[in-house]
Amino acid sequence: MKPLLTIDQLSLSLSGKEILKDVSCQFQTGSCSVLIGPSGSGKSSLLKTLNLLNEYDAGLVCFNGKDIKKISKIELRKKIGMVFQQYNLFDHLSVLDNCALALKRVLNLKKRDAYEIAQAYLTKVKMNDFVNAFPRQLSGGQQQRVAIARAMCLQPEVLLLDEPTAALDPEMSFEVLETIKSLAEEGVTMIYVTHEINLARHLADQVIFIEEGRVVAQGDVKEVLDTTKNNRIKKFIEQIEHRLYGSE
Amino acid sequence: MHIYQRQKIHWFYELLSLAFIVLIISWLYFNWKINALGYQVSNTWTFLSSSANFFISDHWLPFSPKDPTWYAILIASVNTFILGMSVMMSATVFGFLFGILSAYPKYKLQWFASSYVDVFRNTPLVGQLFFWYFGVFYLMPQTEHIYYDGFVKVSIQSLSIYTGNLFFILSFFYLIVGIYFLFLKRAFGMSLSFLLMSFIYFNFSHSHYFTMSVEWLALYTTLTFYTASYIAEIVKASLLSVPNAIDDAAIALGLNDKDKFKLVIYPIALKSMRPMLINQYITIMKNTSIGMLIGYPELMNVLTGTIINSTGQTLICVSLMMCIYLSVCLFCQFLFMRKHEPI
Amino acid sequence: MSQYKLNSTFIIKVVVAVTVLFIIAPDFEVLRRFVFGFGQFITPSIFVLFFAILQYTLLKNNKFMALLVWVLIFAFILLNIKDGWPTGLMVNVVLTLMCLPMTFILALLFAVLRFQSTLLVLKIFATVIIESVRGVPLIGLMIFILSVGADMVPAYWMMPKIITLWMIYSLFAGVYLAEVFRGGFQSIPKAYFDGAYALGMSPLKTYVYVLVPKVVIDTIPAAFNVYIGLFKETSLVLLFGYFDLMNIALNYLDFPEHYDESIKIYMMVLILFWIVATIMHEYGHYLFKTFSKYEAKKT
Repeated sequence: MKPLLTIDQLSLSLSGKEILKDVSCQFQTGSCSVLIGPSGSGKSSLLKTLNLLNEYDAGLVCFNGKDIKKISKIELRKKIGMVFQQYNLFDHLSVLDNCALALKRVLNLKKRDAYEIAQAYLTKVKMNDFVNAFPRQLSGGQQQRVAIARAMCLQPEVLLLDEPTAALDPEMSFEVLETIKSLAEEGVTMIYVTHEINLARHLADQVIFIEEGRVVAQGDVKEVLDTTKNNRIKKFIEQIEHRLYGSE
Repeated sequence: MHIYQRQKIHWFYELLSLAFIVLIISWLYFNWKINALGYQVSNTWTFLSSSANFFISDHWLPFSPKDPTWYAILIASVNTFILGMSVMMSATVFGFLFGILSAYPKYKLQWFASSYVDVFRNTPLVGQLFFWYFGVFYLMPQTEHIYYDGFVKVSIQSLSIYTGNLFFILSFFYLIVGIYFLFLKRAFGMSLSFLLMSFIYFNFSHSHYFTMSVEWLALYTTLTFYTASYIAEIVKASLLSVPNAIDDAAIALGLNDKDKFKLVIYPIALKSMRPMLINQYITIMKNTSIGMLIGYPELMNVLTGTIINSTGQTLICVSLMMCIYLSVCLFCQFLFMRKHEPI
Repeated sequence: MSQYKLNSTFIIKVVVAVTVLFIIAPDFEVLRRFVFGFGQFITPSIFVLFFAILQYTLLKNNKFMALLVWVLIFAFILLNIKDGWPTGLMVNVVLTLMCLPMTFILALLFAVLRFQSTLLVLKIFATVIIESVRGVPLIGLMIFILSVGADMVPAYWMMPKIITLWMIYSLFAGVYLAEVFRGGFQSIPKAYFDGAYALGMSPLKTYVYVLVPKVVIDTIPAAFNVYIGLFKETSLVLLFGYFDLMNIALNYLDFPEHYDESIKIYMMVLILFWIVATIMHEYGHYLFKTFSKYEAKKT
């Protein structure tokens, strides 16, 4: 089967600092890929590069077999949705307007259609009771669900999730994870940056471990997380599990 | 990619906008050229060195109509400068007083301070000037019944105070201080201002009376009260912007009210009010130009009123005026504004 | 919907001011002349009606209607100028209201050009204009326009005085408002750009539909300070020989039999200005409370 997104020897530097070196990987249609690695390793930068929020220096990124630099940015971003760690909602717009904005202004839909679609997706993430609220009036988990709905409104082929639960407490992250799981069951292609190893085990078809801008290991869950021979990954996983379950 | 970080130069759009701007400016210029042909006088700078042939009623330095025009402009600038400086000092005092009074409900005079700020901030400067000049100072005694008791002389034109040899002594003192500063490192500006003050005071010492014209008094009063209300608002806002936690911390350290204000709150507030205060000081310098409306000979009045009337060099005078004000403002900004100063 | 509550101190202040005004006014005719000038009641009433409609359309968020009403207002002003209207306090009010939209547009333009633009030429151009207007007092700017600037347009244009004034004041207030908007743009987090770009919006669309609405709402209080400053500065139109409130008062005091009333008359002038400025202040407060609902509660 032909992969949806292909990254080939990608390297990226931001303000003179080298962030990604020779990264190569592939993402299949309908799969869920999880990027893990220590902070500052370039996971988020890789994600932003797929969306062309960062412009890369060398290498090749293909979407549906086409070089993404040859597709217009706007067309590309319509097909690749993104959810951020800090939600990045627009504070001055209500929840419904946040979702309908892109439909109205990017897809040039009529007002009524836009609101209908936005309403439908908000119902999907169970935020339909809060359509007239403003982002500041909601809890973090609710805001993140609105952000997911906003990204899904454009019906993207790929959804990029940049640590969506990192800024949330466990109770709030639970409701967001439920939403993400339901999306995964529907077969949305997802690329997910996270520290939640358990979620990775549950969801991932593919795990990619990145450190200092290089891909250290990639493969399915068992290959990378459980039966790995790489000491660095073992230590990383140990540390995370230690942090999660305390000193038991 | 963030929009600020884009470094690429779009030559086509740059040139297009440049062409657009050049087109507009040349259109304005040619229009001016055609329209001004009818009454154009040849623009020359020679009038600056020929004698002024007009009289300046208020001058801190010696001046006679035979002096060159550039010297008259200098006299007017000194008038503006001294007016601005005096207003700065008194407005700061009043402003801090009213600002502190209106910031805390514990003061009984809070209602007075805040209504003062309300009234003086929400009425136009020109109206206030006319109120003081044509209203209040108009009540001063007419020429035929001048009030005079040997110490103060009050008339509708001026207010004189007997000073004796005070200004001579002050001038001498300032001269010594100025010379002393001249030999210190990094105090050249300070020494220069002391020497200038010494020179000005020496000019006063010719007469035993210190005379202020009623125009000067009216401008001084107006600008002081007007600016003080703005400064009071700034001071109040800065004092209230100090977080409550700092207040609590100071109390927890055992500071009493006076020390808490002096050592903790005031220094923090001062940092946040500094740029706004400097903006106000620059605004004072610009606001002195309303002296033109009551005929006080400050820079705007002399340069764009009297000199244009007597020589007809409109273009040169107006551009000179704009250049002087602009350079003063930019200089003040350059001098006082420290960018990226942490608060 | 709106969290605005009418402030009782505001009402008391205005009522007291109006009472004082009626007490110190020599007679009602003088007061009428100060407020409406030499014109009739009917013209200003229609004018105020227009603004009521405008306010209604703004609240209903009907931008097309709002634009239409602005065009009607301008047409109305242009048609009525020749009758010697406006005069009195109406000059100041009408001039301020005329300047509001133009000031707003210029300020946005300058703020974006100077602080957000990537085109060097436009950036320098905007900086030069902003700094030179900010560095010169308004009187100086007016003298420049009167003596040099008036010759810079073709003579056959025959610009009405009020249009010249409109341009000067819009430029003057626009430059100060640009500085306010600059602060607003600077306080916008980078996340807004990322969020909007990730949705597939172009930079232009991001500015028009996301950033500008937010900046405009955030800076309402500071912007109204600029507008009140603009209203106060309109008292300088007497340099153009325009019969605004101040000039009518001066005119009234020219007669020897009115010499001893000068303090009273100037107090009347100041109170009239004060009332309008206070109402503007309260209106800004109302707008901010109405449009910044999202600031209400922090999580």
